Amino acid sequence: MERRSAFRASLVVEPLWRRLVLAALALVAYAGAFAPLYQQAGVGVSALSIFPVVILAWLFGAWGGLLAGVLIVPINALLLQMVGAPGWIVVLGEGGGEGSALVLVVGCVIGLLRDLGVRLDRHFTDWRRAELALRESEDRFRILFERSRDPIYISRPDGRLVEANEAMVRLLGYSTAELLELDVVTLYEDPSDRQRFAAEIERRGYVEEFPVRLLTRDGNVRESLVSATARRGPDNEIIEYHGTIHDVSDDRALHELAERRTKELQDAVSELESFSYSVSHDLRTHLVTMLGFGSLLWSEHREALDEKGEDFLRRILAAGHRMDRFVRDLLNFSMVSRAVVRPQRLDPGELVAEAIEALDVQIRERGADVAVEGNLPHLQADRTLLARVLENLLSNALKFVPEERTPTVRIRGHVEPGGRTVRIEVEDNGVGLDAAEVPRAFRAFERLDPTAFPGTGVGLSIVQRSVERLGGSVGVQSRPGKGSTFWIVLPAVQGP
Amino acid sequence: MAPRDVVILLVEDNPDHTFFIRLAAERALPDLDVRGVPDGRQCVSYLQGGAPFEDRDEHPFPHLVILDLVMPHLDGFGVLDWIAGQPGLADLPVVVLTSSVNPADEARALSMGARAFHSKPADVLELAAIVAAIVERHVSSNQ
Repeated sequence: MERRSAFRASLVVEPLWRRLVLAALALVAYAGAFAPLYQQAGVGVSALSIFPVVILAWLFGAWGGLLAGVLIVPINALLLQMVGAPGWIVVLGEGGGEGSALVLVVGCVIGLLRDLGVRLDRHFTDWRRAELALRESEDRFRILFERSRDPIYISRPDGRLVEANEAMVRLLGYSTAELLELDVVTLYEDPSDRQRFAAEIERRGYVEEFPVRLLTRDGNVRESLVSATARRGPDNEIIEYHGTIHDVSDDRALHELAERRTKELQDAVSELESFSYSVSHDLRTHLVTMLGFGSLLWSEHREALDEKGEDFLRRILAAGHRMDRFVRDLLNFSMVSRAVVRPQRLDPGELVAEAIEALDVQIRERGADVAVEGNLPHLQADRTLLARVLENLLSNALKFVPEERTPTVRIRGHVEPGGRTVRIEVEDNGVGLDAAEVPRAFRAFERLDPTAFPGTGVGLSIVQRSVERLGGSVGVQSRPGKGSTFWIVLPAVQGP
Repeated sequence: MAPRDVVILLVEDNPDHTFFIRLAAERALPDLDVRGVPDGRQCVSYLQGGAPFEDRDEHPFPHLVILDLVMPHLDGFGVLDWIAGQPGLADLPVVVLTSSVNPADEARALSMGARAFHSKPADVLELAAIVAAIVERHVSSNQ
């Protein structure tokens, strides 16, 4: 059954409708072209002699039909001459079977050859196409193989390399020919690595980032990570290893360089730090003297000065105290960047209370109304940094309020949607900021209104830097003239 | 103990600061007996009773040491280190009063046995308050 359908498939090269048309055409052509010939010879066109033509055209197409017709005519003509009767009459009536059989066989063979040709042609076309695709694909992979920056190789369990790409040649310093000659064991600084490699790949079928120290031709060691898979033969025995090598020597060198540079930077920073502390110490030593004598002059000898002298002394003292604050703020600011952050569960309410206590003098001087609204949710932060943040925010809220206004400060907080962060707000009724001033407000040593309000301009930058170091964010909503609400968002307490 | 009986050894190299601290001490507690030495080495001599401090009637042993940190010859940390090595001085309270505002200095001084650490304020009245607090906390309770 299968064989028959295969045979049919081999015959049916062209669609059925085309065969029918060809057969009809062959019939018409045969009858039209050869009827006069037969008539000349004194016989009509035999229906029998048409059949082979139609059948062959049906089976093998136009060429088959035409050839049958062309062959039948001379044969018939010859038979007419020889025996005085045309083809089929001879076949049927007078024993001319061999000639007619020959006609059929020739027609069949020609038809078969034609089909075979068509099929072969198709086959060769497909084959050529497949070969081209294969070659193209191989070219592509070859390019990948050759241009890879990581060495790629194929080796055999007996220690011979079958393939090695350019990167491998560059890594090891051997030429390709030399590589294909040598025993790979000689590439290992420790030959037992090769055994371990083989054992592992035998067990798992692959190795990933297997660390080895490879020897280059001039005896240098390259720290490498080898990843490879085993290709197995028909009996499941390993016939090849396909591997890539990642040379990490440079990574390591880079890492060491980065470490060295970091160390140098850290040294430079700590040198700068101790320098800034010793400078600040010396600055303060002189400031303490100047302000000490100044304050003595003020408290004990002021009456010896006239009004102008008193004014001058006041200015000197004010400038001295500003400078002292500036030195301290400068140190605080640089300290925030380097402080070791130790996050812990904190009650911000407690820290706010401490800040309010620390600002007691300022609060009383201004008659300020400072209150916490509700409970502040616990959060995750470093105690020292958060305390400094809250004190700065509160101090700011008190400071930037016009002289004639009573400062009103409200502190509130809530856990943000999602539960992962806590937002704390400090609202004041101070001078506020317009949108353009906001970025400047957080910049170190920027003072928006130096004449109206005292300060060094470091407070908000300390806040911002501290909050950033705590993994949070800070911002402000403000209406100029009406007040500001500074907010910080910090990680909430996770887990129970 | 009456304040006149309290002897304070002030270790301070800056004469201006010595002047202020004495003044502040006078303001805070008028009868304090403040003895001054200008560096750590002399502080050690004083505590040891070495020359020229052999005479304890003239140079009584202090109830409290107020110590600056940055000084010539032997600095405040050197003094703290030396005191820590003297078993007989384990009860002597030492308080650091310095121009430094470096938290690392504070941590180091406290770890070396200082009882407290104060940055010098730029105001005599504040200084007086600090000295009074120091004497109150570290002398009265210890006597």
